[in-house]
Amino acid sequence: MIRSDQILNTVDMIQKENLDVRAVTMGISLLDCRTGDAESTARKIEEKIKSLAGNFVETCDRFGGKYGVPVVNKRISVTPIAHVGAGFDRAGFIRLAKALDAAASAVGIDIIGGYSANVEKGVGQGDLNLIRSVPEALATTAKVCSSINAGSTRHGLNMDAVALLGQTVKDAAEASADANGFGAAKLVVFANQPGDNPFMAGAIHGLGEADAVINVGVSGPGVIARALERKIEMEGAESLGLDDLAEEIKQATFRVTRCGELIGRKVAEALGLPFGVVDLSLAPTPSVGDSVGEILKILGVDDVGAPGSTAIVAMLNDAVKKGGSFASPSVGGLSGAFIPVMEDSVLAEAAETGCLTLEKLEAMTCVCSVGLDMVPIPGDTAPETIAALIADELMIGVINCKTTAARLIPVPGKAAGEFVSFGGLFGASVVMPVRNSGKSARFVRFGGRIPAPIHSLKN
Amino acid sequence: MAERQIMVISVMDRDRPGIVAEVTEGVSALGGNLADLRESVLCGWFTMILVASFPADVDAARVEQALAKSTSSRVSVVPAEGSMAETEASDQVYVLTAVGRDRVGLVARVSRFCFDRGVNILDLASHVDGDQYTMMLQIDLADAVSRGDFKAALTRFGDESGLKLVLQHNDIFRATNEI
Repeated sequence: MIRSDQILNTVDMIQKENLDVRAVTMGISLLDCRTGDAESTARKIEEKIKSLAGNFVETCDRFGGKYGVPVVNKRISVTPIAHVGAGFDRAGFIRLAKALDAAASAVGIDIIGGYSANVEKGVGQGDLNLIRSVPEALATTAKVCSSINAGSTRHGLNMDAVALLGQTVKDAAEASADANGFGAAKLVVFANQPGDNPFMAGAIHGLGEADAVINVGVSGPGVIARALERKIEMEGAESLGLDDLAEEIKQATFRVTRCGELIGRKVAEALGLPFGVVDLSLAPTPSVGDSVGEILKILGVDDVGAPGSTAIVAMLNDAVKKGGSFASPSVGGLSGAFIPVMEDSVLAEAAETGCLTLEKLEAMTCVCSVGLDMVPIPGDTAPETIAALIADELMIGVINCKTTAARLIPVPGKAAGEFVSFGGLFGASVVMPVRNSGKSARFVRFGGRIPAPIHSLKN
Repeated sequence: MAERQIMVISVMDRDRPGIVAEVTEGVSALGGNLADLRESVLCGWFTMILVASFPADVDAARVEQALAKSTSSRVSVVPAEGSMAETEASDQVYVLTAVGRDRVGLVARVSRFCFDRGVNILDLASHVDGDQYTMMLQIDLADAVSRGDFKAALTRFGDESGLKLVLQHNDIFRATNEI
C-alpha cells in the first residue's frame, strides 16, 4: 500500500532538491599489467581498463535514467602507479600516465585517479621517479589525477617527502602556466589516504582491494540545504534548536545515501563487479544551490568564515555521518563534508570578500574532510611555504586519526585578490593571500620525519 | 488436499465496529481460508475486499447467503478463475504523483492518460488539502510505450492539464522510506 506522506517527502526530494549521485567510481587493480618495460605495460593498462570499463558510462546513464537520479560523474581509480611502475624511469612513468589518459578518453569517463604513491615513511626510487614526473604528466594529460600520501597516524609525517611535494606542487602549476596552473588542481597531498575513496583528485584503488570494484559518492549539499530551508520555513526559526536541524540533516542524508547505494549496487550488479562503499561526503559544485557554504549560512552565520563556522561544519559533518551510516551497511572512503574553495560558489565569494581566510579554512578542516582543497594561492609563494602549509594540514590528520589533504594551486603570475577560473566542476575564485609567506623555510629544511603520535602505539 | 474454490468477497457499509468480525467469522464457519484482505474507510464508509478459498462443495451463492445472515452489511461474492498465485512484480513499477487544484474529472483524466499508453495502475490513493488535490498512483510501465516516450508524454500532459506530475521509480521510493 502506498502512503501519501512518505511519497510526498520523496517527491520533494527529487524535484526540489536536485537529487543526484555525485560520483560512481570503478576501482581497477593494475598490478597484473606490469611487464618488463613501460611500453608494453602501458598497452596492457589500456587494454585492461577498456575491457573492464567499456560499458561503464552507458550502464551508469542507463540506471540514472531508469531511476530518475542522474550519475553526475563517472570515474575510474587505479592501483597507485608507483607500485605498477616501480623500476621504470621518469619517461616510463609519463608513458603510463598517457596510457591512463588514453584509456579514460576511450571509455568516456570524466577523470581517472591513481597516478599516485605512498611515501608516508620513506620515498622509494619508484615513488621518486613518479613524483618527479608528476608536473609533466599532469600538464600533458587531460584526465589524469595524482595523489601522494605523505603521512599517517601510524607512521607520522614524512617531511622529506613534504619538502619535495612543496616543490612539486609549484612545478605542476608552472608546467601548466598557460592554463593558470591547472596541473596543481589535479594533484593532492594526503595524510591517512583511504584506498576506496570515489572522489577526485584523491581516488586510488588501494592495495587491499579486489581486482575491480564499484564505489559511490552520494549527493551534493543542495539536498541538505533545501531540506533545512523547508524545515525552517515550515516550523519557524524561533521554534527550532540546532539539535532539530542536525536531525533534519541526518534524515535527509539517510534518504540521499539510500538512493546512491541503490544505483551503485545496480551498476555493480549489471557490470558483474562487487560493490565497495558508499562515501557519505557532501561534495559541492560551483553551481548555485550546490554549496556547503550555503548550508553554513542557513545554519546561522552571515558569512562563511565568521565565528561559529567551525562549530557548524563539525555539526554538519557529524550529522551526515550519522544519517548515512544508518542507511548503508558499507560506508567508506572519505565520508565527510568537503570545503573546496574554488568548487563552492559561496566559499569562493567569502574568499573574495575576505571573510574567509586561509587560517579559518584550516581550522574548519580540523572537523571535516578533506582539507585545504582547491585553494588558489599567489604564484610567487615559495616552495618551502607551500610545503609548510601542507605540513600543517597533514599533521591535523596525523594527530586526529583522520584523513586530511592539501590541494593548493600557486597560480602562475597572479597575486592575492586576482581572479582565476578553471571552468566546469573545478570552478573559480580569487587567489587567497598567504600571510607570513616565506617564514617557514628553516622548518622545512630540517627534513626527516615528524614522529608518529603516541596514540599510534595501539598494540 | 482436495480442490478448493477461490472466491472474491466485497463488503460495503457505513463504518461501525464489528464488520470485519462478522464477515470473517461467517467465512471461517464455512471452512473458508483467507488468502488476502484489504479494508479501507473513506469519508465514514467502510469497504473491504477479501480473497478466500472454500471447500469444493461450497459455492458462491451459499457463501453470499451465509454472509447475509451473519452481517447486515452489503456483501457480494464472485468465484475467482485460475490460481491465487501472486503475479510476478515487474521491475518497471513507478510511483506517479499528480498535484493540482481540486476540480471535477482529475482522476478520470490521469487514469485515461495512463490507459491510453498501456500503463496499468496497481494502486491509487488521493489526498485533499484545502483546494489542492494530490493523487498518488503506483503504475507498471512493463507494457507501456517506452519509458522515455511516457516521460515526454507526461511532461506535455502536465503542461496541458496544469497538474504537477512527478514520476519516480518504486525502488527509489522504497529505498528512501524503508528502514
